[in-house]
Amino acid sequence: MNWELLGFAFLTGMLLYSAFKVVTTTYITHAAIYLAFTFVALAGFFLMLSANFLAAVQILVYAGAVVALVVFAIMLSQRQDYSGKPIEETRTEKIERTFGSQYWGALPLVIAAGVAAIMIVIYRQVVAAGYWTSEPGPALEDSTVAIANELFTKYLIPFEVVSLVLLAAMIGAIILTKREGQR
Amino acid sequence: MIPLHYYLIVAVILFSIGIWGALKHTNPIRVLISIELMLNAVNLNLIAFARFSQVDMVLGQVFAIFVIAVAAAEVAIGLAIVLMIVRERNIYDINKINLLKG
Repeated sequence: MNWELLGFAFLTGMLLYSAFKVVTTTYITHAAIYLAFTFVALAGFFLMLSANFLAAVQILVYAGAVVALVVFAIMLSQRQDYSGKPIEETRTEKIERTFGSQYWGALPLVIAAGVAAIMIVIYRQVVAAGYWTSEPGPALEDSTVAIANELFTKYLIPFEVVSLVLLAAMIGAIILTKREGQR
Repeated sequence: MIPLHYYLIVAVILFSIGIWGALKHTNPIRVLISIELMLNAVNLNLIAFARFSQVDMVLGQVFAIFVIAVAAAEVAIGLAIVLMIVRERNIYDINKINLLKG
């Protein structure tokens, strides 16, 4: 029994099912909850790739902060969506609503499939070029230490620029959401 | 060890689900959620490539941190703009946001 492959299959199923439900579920609040599941599954992938620090960041920033932000925005902006009444529809209508769209029919699905096909062709070339090993070397001893060493020496200026970007985003969000007349 | 292309295929599928959602929906919050899915697929790609790299196993993870930071800023600003549009103009459909249309 290959436990690693089993874990990979489980995480893949969880990730892709919840991502699919994020896009297709009827109620936007449900989409937010499925989004949290997607992020947790991705943190599992990061652990499998021995990126421990990024798995923790993924849980904290995405499953914590971003999902909370999205839920707040839904709460403050949406009109209906809280009734929880099941929608009555026939099978064809359900398929149409799931895979079609309001204005363009099935075109978004076709575009997404086309992008996936193009990217798989490109990846075949990239992997065949042989820059990446099929069997990776030993994992980093401590990925947190390694990231910190790089981040605070080689990438110090990008790091500071990103902190400025976050500050600007914070101030911008506060000013945008202030009510008119309070300025 | 799971080979590299398994991770790449999962990331491709996640990315195209994100594109699909971003094009399919007209609710601005759902479009933003779909963009988050796409950014996460990119992160998975970066970390998988970093793990299987022969040269630098840290660079991909550092880059993923920057992506996460910019994505957090993006979602904060995006949701603030959505809230403002809903409050000022009572619009829930991105096709009806046409203030700048000449």
